[in-house]
Amino acid sequence: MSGDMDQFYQVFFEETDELLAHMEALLPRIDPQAPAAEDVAELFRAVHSIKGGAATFGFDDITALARELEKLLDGVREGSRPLSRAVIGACGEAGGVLRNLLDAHRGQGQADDARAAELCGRLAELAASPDAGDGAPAPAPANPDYVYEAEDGSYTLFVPPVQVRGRVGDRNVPAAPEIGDGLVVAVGDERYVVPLGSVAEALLVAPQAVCRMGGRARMIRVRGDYLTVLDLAHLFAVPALSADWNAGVAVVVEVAGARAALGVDAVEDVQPLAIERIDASLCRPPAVAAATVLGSGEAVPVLDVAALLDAVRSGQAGADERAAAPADAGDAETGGKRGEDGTPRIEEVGVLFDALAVQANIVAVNAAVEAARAGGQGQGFARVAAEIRALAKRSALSAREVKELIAILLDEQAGGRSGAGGEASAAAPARGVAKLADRPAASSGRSARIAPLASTRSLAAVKKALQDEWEDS
Amino acid sequence: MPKHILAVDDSAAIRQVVSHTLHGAGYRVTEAVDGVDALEKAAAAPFDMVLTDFNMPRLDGLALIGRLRELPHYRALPMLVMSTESSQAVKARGRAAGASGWLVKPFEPRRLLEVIALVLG
Repeated sequence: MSGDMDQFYQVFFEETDELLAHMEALLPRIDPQAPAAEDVAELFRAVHSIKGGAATFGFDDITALARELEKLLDGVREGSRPLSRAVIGACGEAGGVLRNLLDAHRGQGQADDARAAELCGRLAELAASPDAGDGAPAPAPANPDYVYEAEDGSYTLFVPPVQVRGRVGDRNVPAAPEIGDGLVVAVGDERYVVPLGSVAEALLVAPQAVCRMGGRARMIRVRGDYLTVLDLAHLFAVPALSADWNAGVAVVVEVAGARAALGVDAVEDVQPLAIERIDASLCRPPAVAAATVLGSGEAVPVLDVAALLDAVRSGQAGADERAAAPADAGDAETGGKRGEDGTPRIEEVGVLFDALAVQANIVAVNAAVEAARAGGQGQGFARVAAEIRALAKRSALSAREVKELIAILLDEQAGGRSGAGGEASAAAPARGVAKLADRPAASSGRSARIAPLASTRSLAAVKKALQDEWEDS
Repeated sequence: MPKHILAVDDSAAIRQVVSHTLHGAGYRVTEAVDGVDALEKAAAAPFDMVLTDFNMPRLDGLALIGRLRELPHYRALPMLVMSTESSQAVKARGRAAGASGWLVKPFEPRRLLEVIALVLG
């Protein structure tokens, strides 16, 4: 599916390119004194199509800007606002910014997010300004008596749904996949889904809270209980972001009274997912129950939490094979975080931002877990949880930007020092940069290990099989 | 015999996503690029359902539904509108034009299939 998605993205990019070109061609020929209704309608339609496409493909920045522009043009189209020079100017400017955002998504250049945000604000102001037309807006008709409206507003039916009376044979839709909420967790570059029903909570774990039992199994203390930590990177033999799970994010899972903590690099999101059970004949790894496809088109394994907990009970998992890991792997929090000259304090700002974003996301995930637990009565809270998740995502984005900025600054600083003081100091770049650069290095060392629970097939092969099966289904 | 759906959207990217989703669920799909194209295709083949975008050049989704409802085969056929617009006012217009339902873009593929299953059975 990801191959297909790439192809879809390509079509979207080309189409949006054409729509922007069309906008640019239309603008100069529109006379503010006597705008042709047809031109205005076309302009509106171009912006509307850009918004629709971007929203479908999840390009939120383009969607947001196109939405503001569309609102402005809607007033012009409906005749409630004159097509002033300010509006035409804003359209021209928005065209340029949209193109910049589009190019950035295509990997060409950097998105000027600040300018896009500023322009969004200005378009909204323009649309709300007095010459937005003081003519009373058309009164909305009374709420039509719909036959059915989805709770999330995603669809409305004006006719009664066709009753399906338990006969599957004559339906042309294959048996519906199971729909459920899943917590998407990241382990290095890989993603896994933990069924939300088995998630008790997500925690940020400090290194001092991690202890080893008998020198092997890693445990953490959670509310008086010692829980075995299942390091997913270790379990699936995938390269993790950090060289070793000493502390980080733990997802506490619970099935039938058995509990354990999954050690992951990050928790990403709670999503409703269509979960496809995998036929056992497909050589699925023992700890994978099913597969699903994320919004990005990526096919990901859904963890079989009960099997994982069984493994904990039988002592197969949780043992720390990496006790013999090189000593320089070090503790995540104590290793040479500062340069020897002690200067990169600025880097701590990035780390702080990062930590705040991670904490916000953890709060968001726990809110979603609680909302799911509350069932029907938690629907209001589920909306709040969704808002918190959105906020956490924005925080994470900001954190990333700050970290990147700091990394660049430190890089430049290190470059400057290296020029002045020889090569020794050049070997002490910011940890943020080093962390990114370390990722492939970490992978080569780790992927060679065969974890106790991993199938003999590589994860990539399993993912490929899932992907193929998904496409075939 | 798989149900045959006419998918109408002026955006090639969205047509592709819709077709991919519907094909994946076992439907037969014919694409049309706007209302006029859809009308021609609808007259040539008896579809089981029409799924149309709202804002399109030449003939928009609601006008398309209005015209199709005049044809005997399409009088009671499920016709869904997909649009980024979601106000009560615009949905009321859709209902008045004869739409069977309204899907708000962006839609999740499973939602689309869910709604189609509801109206097609």
